[in-house]
Amino acid sequence: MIRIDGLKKNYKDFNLDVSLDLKPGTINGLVGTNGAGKSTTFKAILGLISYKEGEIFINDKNIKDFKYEDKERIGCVMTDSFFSESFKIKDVAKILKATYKSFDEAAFYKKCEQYKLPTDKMIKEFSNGMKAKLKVLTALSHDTDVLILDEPTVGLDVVARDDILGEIRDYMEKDENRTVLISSHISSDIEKLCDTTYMIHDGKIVFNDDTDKLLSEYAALKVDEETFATMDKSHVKAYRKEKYGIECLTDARDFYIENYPSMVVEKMSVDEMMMILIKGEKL
Amino acid sequence: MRKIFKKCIDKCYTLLYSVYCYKVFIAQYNSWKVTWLVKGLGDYRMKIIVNNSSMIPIYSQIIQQIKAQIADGTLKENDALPSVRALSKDLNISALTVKKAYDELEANGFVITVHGKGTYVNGNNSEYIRESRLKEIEDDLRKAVEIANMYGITREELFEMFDMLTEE
Repeated sequence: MIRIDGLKKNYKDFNLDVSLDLKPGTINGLVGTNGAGKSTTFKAILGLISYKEGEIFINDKNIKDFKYEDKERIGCVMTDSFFSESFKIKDVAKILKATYKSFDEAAFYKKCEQYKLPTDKMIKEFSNGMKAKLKVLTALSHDTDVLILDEPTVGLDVVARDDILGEIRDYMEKDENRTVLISSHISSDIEKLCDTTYMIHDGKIVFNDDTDKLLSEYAALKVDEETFATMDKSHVKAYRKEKYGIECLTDARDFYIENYPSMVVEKMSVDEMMMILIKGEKL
Repeated sequence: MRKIFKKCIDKCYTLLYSVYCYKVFIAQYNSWKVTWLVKGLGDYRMKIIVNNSSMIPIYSQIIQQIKAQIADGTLKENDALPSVRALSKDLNISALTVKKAYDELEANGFVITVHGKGTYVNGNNSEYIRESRLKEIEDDLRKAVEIANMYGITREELFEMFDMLTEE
């Protein structure tokens, strides 16, 4: 479980103001544009930045009271590769062994072999895909209750992404009380894997609900100006004026399908919702 | 000299024979493993095909298909459904979606979840199946009656139509 209560962090030209409640046994997605506050939120959860207001809890313990043993129970992938570029896999394994009591060396090497990571090359010679896989494997190499993954699939092709998402599913299968928070720019990653979706923009959470509700109860309505003026907008959350019409975000898809049978009603996606919420206007 | 030579040959033969035995063992193990896997898959007679582009919510599709398979006997009483995690992995959807489907099936009496063991097809659901089928027919009949009233079609005409249909 991860809970953020009213975290506020002020920078010179950016203010973060977020609250999150992630239940145990769930995989949660965080989406947002670059600079929206995703990485800042992750850094706050990992205790890497200070904050004046707000409390963060992992497994019901305030992270301010965390000891070394508690920190070992968190696995993370950050956007910068945190191993020296001249390390080889065996050097990485040495560091992990010295850092985590629960590091499973044999399993780590087995996974590296499974994903064909070269044992004789330095990290600087790895492809982007290999670097990304190595980061995820290090996060999974020790026993944890919580995984914080900041864009773990960036730069990966569809097959590699599927492998990584599969690893996350396996991780959850082994212990039903684990929690995962993952950020991604890839809509389908979030839609296929995550139980809940949080959207962050300009430092604030602008949307948060079960992913399957986003896919089944929300929709995009595409209408012309006249229809927009006269239609029932009580279930329209936001809209975006395009050149040839207006696109509306609704959370009551069935209402519009039933009452406006000729209206174009499209299934919502994470990407589409982001576009309307960010580039459109709220109602 | 000869004795040493003979000893070497014996050792070679022993080594070759051990390698042969090992290979036979590995082949047996692999074929056993495949049989076990196939058997495991066979235990799940359930088939679910999800249409991601459909307007029907995915959890609804899962519920519909499981109900249909219980109704036509593909899924029998006490058959185990795949775990929430396993099904979500196979269908490439979130575990919460599968859980919603299983929860609703359980609320309507089609399956039972045994904590720590899994979800199983409920044996006592023939009542529910019958009732849900009756409700389906009632809903359709009600629609027909509404349309009839809208266009001024009389009760007698409706009965005539019904007699004709049920005689077929």
